[in-house]
Amino acid sequence: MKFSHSTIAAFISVSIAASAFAASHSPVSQRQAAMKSVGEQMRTLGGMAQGKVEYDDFAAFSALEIMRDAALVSRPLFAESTDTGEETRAKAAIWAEGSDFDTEMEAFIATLDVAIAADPADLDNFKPLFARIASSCKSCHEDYRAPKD
Amino acid sequence: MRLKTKAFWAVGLFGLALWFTSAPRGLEQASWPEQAGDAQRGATVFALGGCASCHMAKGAKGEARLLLGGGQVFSTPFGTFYAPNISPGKDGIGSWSRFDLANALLEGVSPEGAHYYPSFPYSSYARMGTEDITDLKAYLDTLPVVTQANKPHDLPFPFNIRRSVGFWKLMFLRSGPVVDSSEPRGQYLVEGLAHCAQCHTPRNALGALDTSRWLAGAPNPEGKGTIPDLTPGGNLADWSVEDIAYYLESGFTPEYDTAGGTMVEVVKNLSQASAEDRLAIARYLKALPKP
Repeated sequence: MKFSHSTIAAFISVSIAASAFAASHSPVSQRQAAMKSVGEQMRTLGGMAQGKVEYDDFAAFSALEIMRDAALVSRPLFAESTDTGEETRAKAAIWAEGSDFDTEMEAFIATLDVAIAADPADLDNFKPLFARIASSCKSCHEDYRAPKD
Repeated sequence: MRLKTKAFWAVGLFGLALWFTSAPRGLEQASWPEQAGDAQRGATVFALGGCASCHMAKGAKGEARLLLGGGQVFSTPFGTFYAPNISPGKDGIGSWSRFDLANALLEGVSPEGAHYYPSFPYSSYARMGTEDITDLKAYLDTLPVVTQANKPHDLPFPFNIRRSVGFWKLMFLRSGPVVDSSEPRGQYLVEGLAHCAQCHTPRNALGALDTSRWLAGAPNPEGKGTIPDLTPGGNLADWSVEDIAYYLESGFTPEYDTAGGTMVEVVKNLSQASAEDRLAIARYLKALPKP
């Protein structure tokens, strides 16, 4: 069961990641596409966590893998300030002295790794893992993402 | 000469009338209950009231959110306000009685009998209940003392004259319900304690909330952008009651975007409230009259 999860999900996530990120060009639009993908997976996972949608262990596992891949793709794209004149909600604080942005990103990926390794079989096992992922999203956005106009 | 005397008396009487009409009017001491409040309930009142958001140090996190030394800066069209220390020490409000706190929250009057400026949102808190205020006082007394002197507000004439607030209060300070609602708890929270309207309702030229556009969204006081319109047909049109309650608890929109700006703090506060209170807020909002 676990083996098939990983292989199928890995295949799906690689193809989705490839199509989503190859199409865009600048680091800004690429990381925005990656974060959009993260958000889409959160929607799938959140629906299950909230009980709006019935928990499906395979769907959850796939979403977690896609999310981790997107996070891995986005991390280096934030490596240096990219002032391309494009609209971005990334705050200058990311690149400021004493920023812990990359640590936040690392922690986010680690949280996803833990959830993937756990391969939660049911909702009760999934919920606490989801809560940690959700708070990781928020803690980084709070400091490093500007609010919408 | 006679004319001069008449003018003198006219100006004098007018001045006297202004003096009396602008005088701070506090509560009747006798009407205030004696018994102490429940600090545990007060913690919830404190969270719902969002007290920390303005009175903690800017950007404070974790335990530091309970250090209410003040000092946050609020730039407004009327001048610059500095949040005061409300910790229970001598720089704060440690010497206040429950009655003093009630006077501040309900009437915007200090223990010395002066007007507070409405940057302190007593125009919403004026709807608070007696029990909530006594419980809040009991809770505030349990918080750490912060030693930090208050910084005086930096206001141009005529706003630097506190008595001018007296006229503002006569015109705009009301404690009754704003809209008809069948959701009393949600109404109490949104219109009163949680003071949602202070950001989500546009203001008139004198800085008072325009109740004809209640919760209909407003320019962001902190800069660019707008604060969302909460009325039916506004930014929450496609949100269910459960979506709103979940957002207030988790900070996630139905699209799983995260809350931004000052709403991050609001969500931190409201996540400590009861699920029933968050649902009550959501039901009140969904049942708002169309503007």
